Amino acid sequence: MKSVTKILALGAVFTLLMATNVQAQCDVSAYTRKCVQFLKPKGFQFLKSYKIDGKNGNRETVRYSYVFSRGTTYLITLANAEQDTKGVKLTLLSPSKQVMTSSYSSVAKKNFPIQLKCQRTGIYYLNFEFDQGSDYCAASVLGFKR
Amino acid sequence: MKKIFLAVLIGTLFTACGGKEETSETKENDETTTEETTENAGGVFKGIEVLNSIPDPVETAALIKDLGIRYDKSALNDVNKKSSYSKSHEQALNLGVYSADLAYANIYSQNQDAIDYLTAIKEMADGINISQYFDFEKIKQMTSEGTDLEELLKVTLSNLHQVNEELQKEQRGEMTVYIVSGGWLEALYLSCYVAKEAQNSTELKEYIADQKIILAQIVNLLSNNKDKSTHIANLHEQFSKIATAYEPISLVYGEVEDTENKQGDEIVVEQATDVKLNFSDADFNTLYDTIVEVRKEIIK
Repeated sequence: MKSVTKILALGAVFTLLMATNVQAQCDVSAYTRKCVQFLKPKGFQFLKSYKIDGKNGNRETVRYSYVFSRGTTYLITLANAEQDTKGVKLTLLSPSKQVMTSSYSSVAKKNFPIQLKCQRTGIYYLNFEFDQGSDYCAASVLGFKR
Repeated sequence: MKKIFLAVLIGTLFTACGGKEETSETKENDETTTEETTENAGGVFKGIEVLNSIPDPVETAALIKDLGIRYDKSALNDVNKKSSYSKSHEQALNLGVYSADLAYANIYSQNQDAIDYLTAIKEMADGINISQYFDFEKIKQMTSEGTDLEELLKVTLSNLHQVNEELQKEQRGEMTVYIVSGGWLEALYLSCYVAKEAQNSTELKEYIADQKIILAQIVNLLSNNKDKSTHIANLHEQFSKIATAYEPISLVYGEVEDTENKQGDEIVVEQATDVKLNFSDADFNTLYDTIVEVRKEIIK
């Protein structure tokens, strides 16, 4: 009887581990849609989407780069499972890798989309950072308008 | 709706084919880790992640339309040539070319032309075995039915993110290099083609001058990998000719001032700077002729 209980317990642990593993997959399709919805009312056209996968906490930051062009306005939106996108923030870096701005407002304690009215063409960097203990999964969408 | 769908598809094509994200465990060693990530991505192409930063041709198309320049189909690569591209590198390069043409046709709401280019893209995608990531029939059906944008996005975005990862896993990073290079070259060609008509367009000339930044990235990538295949070496040689033509051209920036404001529910950063454009008519003619020559090689 004891061994049966042991097997059942091990089975339960295994099932739980498997379930946890499945839950830990970073599926950003819903977050991407959330980001995209934000573009059209503001007159922006979809350009790119980014999957921000923190690999269950194995990555604290995910960085992408993009050439922003002079005379174009860009909008970068961010979404995850949280209402106010808590647990992740975006920092925009200039071509010389200087911090330009962050999506996170320490006053409002929430993230805001970033709009860049670009006047200097160059490679800019989108640096996504996760807070410890977050679900390490988010999406970002880049839109543009002339 | 068609316009939005096509823009999304084009954008996604380039996003999907644009290489891996740069990742880092900590801020301190991000440069090193970025390099490691590139290697770990399974791509034999050193530095392939730079492709992810190449602007989408839809931006060029938007600029051209914004300048009030009329649509000119004769500038585009003939869709009837699609059957003549039989080798995989030709198909990948022209997938990029046709994608840029699609962006151009689409932004001018030339729906029949856009569908023709979509068909050509499908044929190229079939040729290099990536069409499984593009559910063309479903997308066409949804477009004709006027399906909600959200649903279209779900279909187009959900699978296409896999393309780059899959190509990398399959050690086919070379294909992404051709697709992005072909698309960028066609967009550059179109901007130069229309610049000939809009001689006084400073904005367009500045845009063309700034493409030097992107060209440097592509040439560097091709240079670092030219030993991988004769086709890459050839493309490097061709793009180097454009780089030579670009040498006297530059857009010199003064100091950039960033002003940050909170506007509504957004953080807005506005830049201000002075520029000096070095781009004579003779420089333009040399550049244009070189681009035409290189493009001819690719679309022949």
